Amino acid sequence: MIAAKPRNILLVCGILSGLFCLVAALGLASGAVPLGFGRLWEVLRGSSGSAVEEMIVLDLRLPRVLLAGVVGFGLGQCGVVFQTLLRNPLAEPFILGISSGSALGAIAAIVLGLQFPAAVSVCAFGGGLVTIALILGISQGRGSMNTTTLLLTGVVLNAFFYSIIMFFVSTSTEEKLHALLFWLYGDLGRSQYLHVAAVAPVVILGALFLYGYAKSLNLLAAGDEAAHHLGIEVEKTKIVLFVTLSLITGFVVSVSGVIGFVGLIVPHLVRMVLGSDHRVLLPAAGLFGACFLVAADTAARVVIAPTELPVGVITAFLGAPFFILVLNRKGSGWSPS
Amino acid sequence: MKNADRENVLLDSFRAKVPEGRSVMASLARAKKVWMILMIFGFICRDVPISAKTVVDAAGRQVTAPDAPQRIISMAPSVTEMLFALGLGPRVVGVSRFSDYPPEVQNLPKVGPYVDIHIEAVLGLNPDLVIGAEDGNPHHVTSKLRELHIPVYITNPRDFQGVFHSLESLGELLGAEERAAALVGDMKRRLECIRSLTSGLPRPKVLLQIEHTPLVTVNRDTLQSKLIELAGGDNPAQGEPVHYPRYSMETVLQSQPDVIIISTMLDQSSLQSEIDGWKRYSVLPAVRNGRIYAISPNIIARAGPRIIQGLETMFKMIHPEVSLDCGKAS
Repeated sequence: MIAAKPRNILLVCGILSGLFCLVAALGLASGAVPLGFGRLWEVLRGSSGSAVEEMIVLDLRLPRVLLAGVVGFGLGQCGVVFQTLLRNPLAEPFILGISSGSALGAIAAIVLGLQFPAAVSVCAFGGGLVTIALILGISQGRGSMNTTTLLLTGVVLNAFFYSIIMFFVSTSTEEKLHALLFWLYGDLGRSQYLHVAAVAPVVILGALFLYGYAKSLNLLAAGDEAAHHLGIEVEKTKIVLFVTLSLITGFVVSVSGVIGFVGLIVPHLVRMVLGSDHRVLLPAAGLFGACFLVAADTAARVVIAPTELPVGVITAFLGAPFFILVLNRKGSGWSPS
Repeated sequence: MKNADRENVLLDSFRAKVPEGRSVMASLARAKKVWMILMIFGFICRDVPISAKTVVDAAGRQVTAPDAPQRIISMAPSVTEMLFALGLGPRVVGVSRFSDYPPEVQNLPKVGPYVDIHIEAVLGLNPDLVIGAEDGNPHHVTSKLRELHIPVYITNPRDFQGVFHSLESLGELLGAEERAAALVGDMKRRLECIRSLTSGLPRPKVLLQIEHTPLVTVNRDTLQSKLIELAGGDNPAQGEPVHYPRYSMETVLQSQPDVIIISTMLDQSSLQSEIDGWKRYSVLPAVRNGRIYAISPNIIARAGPRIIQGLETMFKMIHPEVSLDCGKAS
């Protein structure tokens, strides 16, 4: 457990940022065409003399590593806040059905063959927005933001959207199946600087905004009643936070597909090590999420190169055993208060 | 054992069981009744039509088919194309869902996609012969059809030799030997022509793209890759372990293909944007030299009579410097 002193926060962020740089360098150096750090350095300085290697590093790997970092950061942070708001250790950024709403939008775009620029991402984002509106509409309909109602609504919407997705999958032609499945597993193979430019501002602004609520989140973790007595406008705060989280998740999913597990285990791992003060937890979970996803995506590119795996396959495959190991040694550390 | 014999034995055993002391007349009357029922039963169940022949199909199974089948169902686009090329179109009563050539098949009833044939749809068309492809039609479908006493003949065309063999054996099975011989002869002549033209030519690296997001190509076990080789090119992904590997762009950049051939189901405008999408990879010889082409998957992925067309088209893409003309020598 770490006290939330500014010095400690900076220290944690510094260590995790250093880790991120290491992982990112590893990600840039490895792939179907292994370069090694020495060669990578030459390429980055522009003295490699190989146009192919420059293109591999600068046009293929760099946008991908950056996007993995941004997506991982967003998912890690959203996971923390969802778990606190819903006071549920199983909560993750996709729990309210935003992922499946986005996935449905993307898959509809693929199946219908929509061709305008970035059609898949735009439709994915649209699907996410519609889901948020549905969830807020449904749970507000009963007058208050009841946690159980929210969770149930999310689970049911997930099931409903997945049934439509499965309909599309089972009726689609073979040619489109690959694209559909890669979208459902989460995949960073299409990364471009355009995606980074679209999502990074949202994730960064979102992180700053959420950090402003760090103290309120500490209080909300103690329960709605307690938070209310301590002067928090519980309803209003929750709505503001849910909408923020949904926007971040919607943007993230629109460029990466449904990458599972990151938003679930990263908050837990960080909480186990650093405790549950959101002033430390929020930035740490973001940075660690970024490291984790970059590492997982590097693995996805390398394990069966020159073929690539969807990164979602790696996150759960590596994440689950690792998580169980830590859980066994340290206990869940789950005490949202 | 013939049906009649079977009935006699049954009748005998029935007679033997008649308890003693009952009137002979009564037991005879009952025996007659049973015999009638057995006759009718035997008539319904007769599984061998009077005029039939037994052949062995490409799956190694004995198939007993009518001498001149009149209600044929094709369970794969390649089979459909072979049947129509053999002039047997008028006898085809149903085809698989993606059978789309020649154009007249579009009006025929569909029995589902070849990987998921609807058995009820097949039964509903009352076929006297069903023809499928080993590579695609699932075994549970073909075995179910056999259980239902529908003759199923399996072809297995995977390359030129396979297509020749399938055409010839279908010709023999369906009484179109001459047409099959002419067709195979023409294909062999054109194949030989390409073989002679490509021998000794340099072999450019040809990347075949069968899907765009993610990029998917073919390994050496696929028909498409065999066509690339025959057309005088080398497939950089030939050694991949799976038939249709997802290929990372890094590997594409490293393998430096001289020619890129796109073979997807895209329509014209999205095909153009796919070709434009390649232009940013100017480090590739194929991009620098503007050698990005598109070919319909139907003529290179379907092991039917049109693969010769696919091969010739690919040859022109891979070796535009050589004219496709074997003169009178061939």
